[in-house]
Amino acid sequence: MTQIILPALSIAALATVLAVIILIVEHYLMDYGEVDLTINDERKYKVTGGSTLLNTLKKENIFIPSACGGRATCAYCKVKAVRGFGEILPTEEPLLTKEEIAQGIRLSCQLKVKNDVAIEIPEELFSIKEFKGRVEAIDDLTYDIKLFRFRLKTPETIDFKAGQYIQFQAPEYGDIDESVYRAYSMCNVPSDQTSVELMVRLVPDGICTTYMFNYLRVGDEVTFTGPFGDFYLRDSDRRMICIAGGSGMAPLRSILKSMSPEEIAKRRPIFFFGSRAKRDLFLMDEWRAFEQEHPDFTFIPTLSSPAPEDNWEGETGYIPSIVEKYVDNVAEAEGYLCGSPGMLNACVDMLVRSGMPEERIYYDKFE
Amino acid sequence: MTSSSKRESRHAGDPHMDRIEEELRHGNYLRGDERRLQRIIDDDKAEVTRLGMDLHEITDKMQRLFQEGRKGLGDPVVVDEAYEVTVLEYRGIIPSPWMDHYAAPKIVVEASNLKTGQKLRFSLLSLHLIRNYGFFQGKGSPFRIEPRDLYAFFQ
Amino acid sequence: MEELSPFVIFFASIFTSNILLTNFLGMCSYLSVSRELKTAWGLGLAVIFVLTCTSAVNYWLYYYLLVPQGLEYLQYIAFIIVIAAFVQVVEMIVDRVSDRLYAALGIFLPLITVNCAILGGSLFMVIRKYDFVQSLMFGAGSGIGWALAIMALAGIRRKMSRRSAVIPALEGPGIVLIITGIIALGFIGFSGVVQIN
Repeated sequence: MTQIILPALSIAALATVLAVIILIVEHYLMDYGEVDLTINDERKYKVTGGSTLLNTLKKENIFIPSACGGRATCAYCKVKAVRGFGEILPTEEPLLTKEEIAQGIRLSCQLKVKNDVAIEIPEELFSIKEFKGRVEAIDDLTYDIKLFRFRLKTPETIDFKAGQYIQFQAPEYGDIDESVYRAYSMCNVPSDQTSVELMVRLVPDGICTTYMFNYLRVGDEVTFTGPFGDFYLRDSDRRMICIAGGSGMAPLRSILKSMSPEEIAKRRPIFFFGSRAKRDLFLMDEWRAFEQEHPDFTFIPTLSSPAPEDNWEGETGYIPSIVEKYVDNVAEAEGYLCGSPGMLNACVDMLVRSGMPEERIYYDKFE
Repeated sequence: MTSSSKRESRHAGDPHMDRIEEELRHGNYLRGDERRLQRIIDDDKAEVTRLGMDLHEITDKMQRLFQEGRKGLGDPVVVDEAYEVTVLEYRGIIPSPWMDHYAAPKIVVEASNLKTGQKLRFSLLSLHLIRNYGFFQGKGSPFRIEPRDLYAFFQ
Repeated sequence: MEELSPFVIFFASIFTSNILLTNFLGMCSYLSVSRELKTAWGLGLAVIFVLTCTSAVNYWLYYYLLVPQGLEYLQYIAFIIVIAAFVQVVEMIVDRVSDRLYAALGIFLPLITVNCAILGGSLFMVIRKYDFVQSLMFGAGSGIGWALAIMALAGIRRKMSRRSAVIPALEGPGIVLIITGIIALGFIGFSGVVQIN
């Protein structure tokens, strides 16, 4: 009998002793206690040490943009480490440039908070919150663009500047076993504080847009963070040249619709909206009505290759070639652009060639 | 121990490749393909060798389709009188799952061979992965390109 | 065996009786982690450390616990439990002490639990009836020998990847095994110097 029990007991005892040792080591080594987290020299937090900086900040309701979920691939979650963090880690190195390393920029998803630390982050990140909302409406704008309207639940209101964007969280669904974040500009006006509207164009086999188009239903709960971005109306007296294509209409709709009648009279905005054919145009009635309401606003829809059955009598061709036809002194105006990178590049080139300094051209690169 | 480290120790593979493989599985680049990453690359490489393909030459051609096609800003463009190319651009970027400090703009190139009618669709990210790592993606991935289809397309 | 000087064992286990090249232990990570010098070095370091320490711990466990109880036959299971626990503890210590080392070694440490060279080291120590100092030297030497072998292979593979004319059928593990064989042949050259098995 002892022949069976003794070895079993010995192994069990050995395993127990080792497990206890591991637990003791873990208790003493992995417990970092409470540490001080200082942000931008003035805000101080008491936090529990041991987790990554990204998650620690999240617990304090400070949301650093991140798309990869802490696996050191997206490099969105950069912060400036002032003190308390060691040398640069091998997992960070490939994602940071030499200049960034020299400035002390680090990836917050890789850093562990183990002692008192201090970091610097842009002030506007403090206003970023995580929102829960409910899908109120999903409307087809074209065959591949939809308008989503979310009613906010918690928090109940959002403060944003017209032109900013949010990061929408697509949960796990179907074959996709990981939730992802994607950026979409809000297209409603900031005074409409209780809801958020997005214009989304379907990306073929895109993880997030496929979810939004095929899985999301009215009444479903959605999660997003925001607001982000520095694409918003700058204060000046210059004429506004707005150029957008497809779902790039979203931030410009928000910007233009939030302007006061006096501002519109002063800035005399002109909005070039580019599409391929008539089936790609949307919200035309809304813009025509806006034009009626504000004599100083001009809306120019442009088709690059109208179908014969479109009976299109408006502008055709690419926007860069027609802007000068409508605007006398492009060099003195201000540019507000939103669209695909190819279109952005072509438009920026054109505006710069016409004498507009690059720092007066505003666009959202979503980077 | 975390679940990820358990997986690594089970296969006892190259940790760097294992991490990339995990990234790829997360990002759906290996959908429905049970083979290990190195195996997928090796199998495709064997196919490429068998066909006598020059991967550099082919990816240069793909790059050219993209560059010429982009001039259409979303409209079809005929390149070299042999291919019709539409370059679709979307806002945003996709970080490369290979952890190589590269982020691809969201661009999809749709091309058809005017002579044979064969169609080819690739994203800038898939071009990057094929060119630099010989990775054609898993069998069930939406952006999987069969080497032999790619070969035939440029014949 | 008693008369062997610990230093002889130390050098012999690096060169003439290299645990990888003569006993072919720890082959799986040797084959798969030898693509880059840097990662090979990281794994090599971790193996040296764990092999040395587990030899000491397992020596104590074997002679002071298993032998008195007559439980020598439990050595395999006991040794592997100790190795697994030890790797866990090491992982936590490294995590606490150095972020940089943890990030560099972090992914290698769990791999070590299944590295047969580690278990092999402990088992040889018993079979060859080493005393404590000899065991320690044998563990350290074997670890260094293993690291040396994987670094040599990684260096060769790096050179090979730059200008290789390997026929397709032999690419990957095929050519690596052939290279390993040639390295092992080279190490036989040392065998006249001293012999421990």
